[in-house]
Amino acid sequence: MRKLVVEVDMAACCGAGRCAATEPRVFDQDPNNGTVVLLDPEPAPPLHESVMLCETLCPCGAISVTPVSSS
Amino acid sequence: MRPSVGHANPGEWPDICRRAVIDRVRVQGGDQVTLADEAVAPAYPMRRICPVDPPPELAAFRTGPAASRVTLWEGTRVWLVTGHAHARAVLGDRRFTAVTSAPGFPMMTRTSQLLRSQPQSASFIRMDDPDHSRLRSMLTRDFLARSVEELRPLIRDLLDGILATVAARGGPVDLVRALTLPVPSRVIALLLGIPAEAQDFFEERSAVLIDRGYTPQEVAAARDALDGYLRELVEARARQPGSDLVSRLVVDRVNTEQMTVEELVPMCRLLLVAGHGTTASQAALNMLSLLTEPGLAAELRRDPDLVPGAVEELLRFHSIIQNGLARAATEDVRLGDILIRAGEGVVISLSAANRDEERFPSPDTLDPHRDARRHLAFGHGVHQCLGQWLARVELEEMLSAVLQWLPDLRLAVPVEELEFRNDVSSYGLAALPVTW
Repeated sequence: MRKLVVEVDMAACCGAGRCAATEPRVFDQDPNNGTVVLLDPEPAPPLHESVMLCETLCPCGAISVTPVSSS
Repeated sequence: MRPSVGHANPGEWPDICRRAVIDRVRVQGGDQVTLADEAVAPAYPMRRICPVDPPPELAAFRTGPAASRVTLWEGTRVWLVTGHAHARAVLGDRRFTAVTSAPGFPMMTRTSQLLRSQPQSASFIRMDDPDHSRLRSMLTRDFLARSVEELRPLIRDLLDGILATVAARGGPVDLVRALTLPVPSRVIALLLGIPAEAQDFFEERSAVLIDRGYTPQEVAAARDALDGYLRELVEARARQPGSDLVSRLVVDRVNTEQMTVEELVPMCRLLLVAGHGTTASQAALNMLSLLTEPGLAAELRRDPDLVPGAVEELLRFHSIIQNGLARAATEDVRLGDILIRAGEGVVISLSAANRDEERFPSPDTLDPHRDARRHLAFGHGVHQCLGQWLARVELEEMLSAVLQWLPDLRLAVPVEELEFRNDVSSYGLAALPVTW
């Protein structure tokens, strides 16, 4: 089964909030400065598509999603 | 030869656009022009044929190299980027600066040339990091999706008040004057704590700032008047702070020496000007689409859950920052098949990128069912619009309220008599006379 590993770069994050709006089950925002809070670094397959969309939508390139083949 | 195109003026819509429903112009002549040729650097911006479509030449550029040479009004040549992927790449790349005084920075208008010589008046959209992020992050909290969501009931009340009066009075009415301009302007004024009696003052000055019809001197005078007013507001809030954004910025940021008053004033000006003119332009075009796109209004009325997605699609489709965003390369950057050298200017056409068929199939069709979230109407990169969530809430609520209050809405004038604002940095309608 395909596994996705999500990583966030706090230094790059500009708090735009596209990720939290798109996939709130995986991303949240710090209520004070808007920076990303990663809720689930290995989201279940039904969330993969929207998590990959979050990677694309992030204006600052702060989200990286890597497929990992699990044995 | 490239097709010669006329101006999208009232009464001059070409026959191809002149139907009860606004139709789209097909792309012409794309394969006849060698856009990569250094000798061919056509004048930019090009002119629209159809008032709701970008100039057709942009589609031809999109099929060409990653960037093409164009000539600006004062004769300088810059790179024009039209493809979605390349636009994203440039806007997300910190080797391109947003500082207007940088070598090679595209001067889109006579006014931008004047303002370049006065960098002290620049707001953070004309800065790079770290200054940009230092100042912008002071505002992040107030413009978070969840923060502006709290304003939704207030915006709804404002709309209900306005539309109840409009509906009771009866048509015809100009929706720009009655609704799409005053609503965003009152919301941003409320946020900043600008008293209602100053509304006209700042609306008039802000309108001058974004209109190319005024001379650079007139624009500078309007800006100085606005800055003078904002400086007084800042001083008043310093003496007696309230709960508004300006008061909090004075108390939390200026008094703690994280920011100077000289930085706060242009910041307030940016919020004021960018905060209402753009939303107002987009909202008016959204209303136009409701009136001219077959079935759109009926569908949104039937299924209100479609409204947020429709707003994304309308943002993509209209792309009101019609002449795009300007940047300059600070080092040599390879973009696809093109080498952009340090000190060269780049213009990123958001409207062309948002009609890229590789990203959006049938891009010239307005489809409320499309997932349009990848549009670049709010830009991309660290400068992506701070107020995007507020804009979304306002646009969604304006659309819903009009659908609810004015069910039989129709244009009060023939469609070809509508006057579009082509010389304003955010494309829009001068007026939208409707009746019901």
